[in-house]
Amino acid sequence: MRPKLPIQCPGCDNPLSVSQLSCSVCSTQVSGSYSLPMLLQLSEDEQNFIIQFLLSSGSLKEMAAQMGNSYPTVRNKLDDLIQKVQTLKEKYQS
Amino acid sequence: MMNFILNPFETTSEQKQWLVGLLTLILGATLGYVFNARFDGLIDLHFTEKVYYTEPLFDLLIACAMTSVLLFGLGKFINPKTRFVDVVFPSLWAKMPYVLTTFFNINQASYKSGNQIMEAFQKGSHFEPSTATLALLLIEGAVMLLALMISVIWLFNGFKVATNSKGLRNNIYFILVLMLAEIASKYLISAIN
Repeated sequence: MRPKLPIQCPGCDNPLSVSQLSCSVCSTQVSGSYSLPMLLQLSEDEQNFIIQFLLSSGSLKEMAAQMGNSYPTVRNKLDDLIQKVQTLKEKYQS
Repeated sequence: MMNFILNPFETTSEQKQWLVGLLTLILGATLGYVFNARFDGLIDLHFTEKVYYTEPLFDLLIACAMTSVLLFGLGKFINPKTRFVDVVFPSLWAKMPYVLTTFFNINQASYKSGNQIMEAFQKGSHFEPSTATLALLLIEGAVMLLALMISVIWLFNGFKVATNSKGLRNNIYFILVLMLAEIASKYLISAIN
């Protein structure tokens, strides 16, 4: 099982940031304080939705058929995701 | 499974939703004609002495059209991306539970019991039904209540899916529009007849 990347603090629900990166070949470690890129701040389901959106060339009808959902359900998910990304973008820029 | 029963609009494809919608109209007109039922309002079902085939069909068409137009207006206000077709589906589907309950009027059973109650009420006497009539009335009442609940749940969930509506304020608007649709469709159907 591939472990999920945690994006929220389990203690206080605030977004987590990267404090250490390491090379799996030579074990070099880099420490610092880096915020997660905007797309990584989305949940795994939301990231999968975006990938699906790209792979179906942005066709919501095709996505609906692939996901077994109705067209408005997929459009609502996209609208909610757009709103979330806009909020993140505002936070990211400020 | 329960989620699908309560909210079929989330997962059902457009073609299947059209199919069920058209089936509701055809079945509604046919069963309405066979069992002398009128669907004279958004959440109405009445049994009469005799109906023509076109009467239940027009009842359904008027009620669905009125509900769709009013819900579409509210949908556009809540979310400008709302499509008309997405509010037509729940308006059509919401009639299916009523259509299926017309079977209670086999041999005019429900109509006759209703008349007996009315006669007893007008004469000021007690209505003393047979055990079979009482059992039928109780079952019919329970099933009708269930049909009403399913119908309203489908309208509500279908509207939510169509418009991505959220929050208490939008739910209150929805209830008000539903009441308006009931009054308007009832008025229009009675004005045409």
